[in-house]
Amino acid sequence: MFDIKILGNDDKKCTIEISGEIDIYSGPDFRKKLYAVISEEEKDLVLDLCNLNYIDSMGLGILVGALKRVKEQQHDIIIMNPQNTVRKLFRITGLDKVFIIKENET
Amino acid sequence: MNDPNTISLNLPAKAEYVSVARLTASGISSSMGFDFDAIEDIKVSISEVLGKIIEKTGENRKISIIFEPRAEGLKIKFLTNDDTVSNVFDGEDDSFSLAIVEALMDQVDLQKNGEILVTVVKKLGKAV
Repeated sequence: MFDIKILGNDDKKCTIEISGEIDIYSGPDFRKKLYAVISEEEKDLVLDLCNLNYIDSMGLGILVGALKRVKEQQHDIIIMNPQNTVRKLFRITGLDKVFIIKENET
Repeated sequence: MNDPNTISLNLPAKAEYVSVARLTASGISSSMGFDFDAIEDIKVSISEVLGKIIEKTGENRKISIIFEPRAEGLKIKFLTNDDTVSNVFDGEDDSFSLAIVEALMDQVDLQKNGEILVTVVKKLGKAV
């Protein structure tokens, strides 16, 4: 299972922590909740993945869909603090070139 | 199936059971001596293959996963009792998933129109 929690929200960006596991089972609910945040906030999204233990191709596809929606709003998605296993998936799929990935935002 | 070390897992072809397969794979690969990264590679690959089989099988079908621990690594075979399923990675969006499995595992064999749909192999000491 997974959880989405808003950690911070200001004029420019909304910071969300995504934790747990995103796979074929939790993916549809994750898509619904993430896209709802995008529709409501209409600003840059910072996705803190430090507690995301697992994601598969469905989850990555949802993030790509989210990026498309955010870009249509003239905003961006910043991926923060992915664990090594999650970062590896971004790398082998080439999505590390598509998303802005950062560590330890303060 | 004659190998006494073979482990078989039979699951309903439903998304909620994919995590059971991941946990099982984690336990087997850990006991074989795979390191953390390699175990994660195996877990992701299992989820990708199962996800595609589940997408293509009908209601009330079963998936069998056969784990074959070897001195050189772990062989995992995926079977289903749905004979309408042939190539599990033949969909428009499946190449992304297949690319992940091929990147993480040392060997990926797709069998079309056979009892075994997919066979993957992870060699010991070969985390990506």
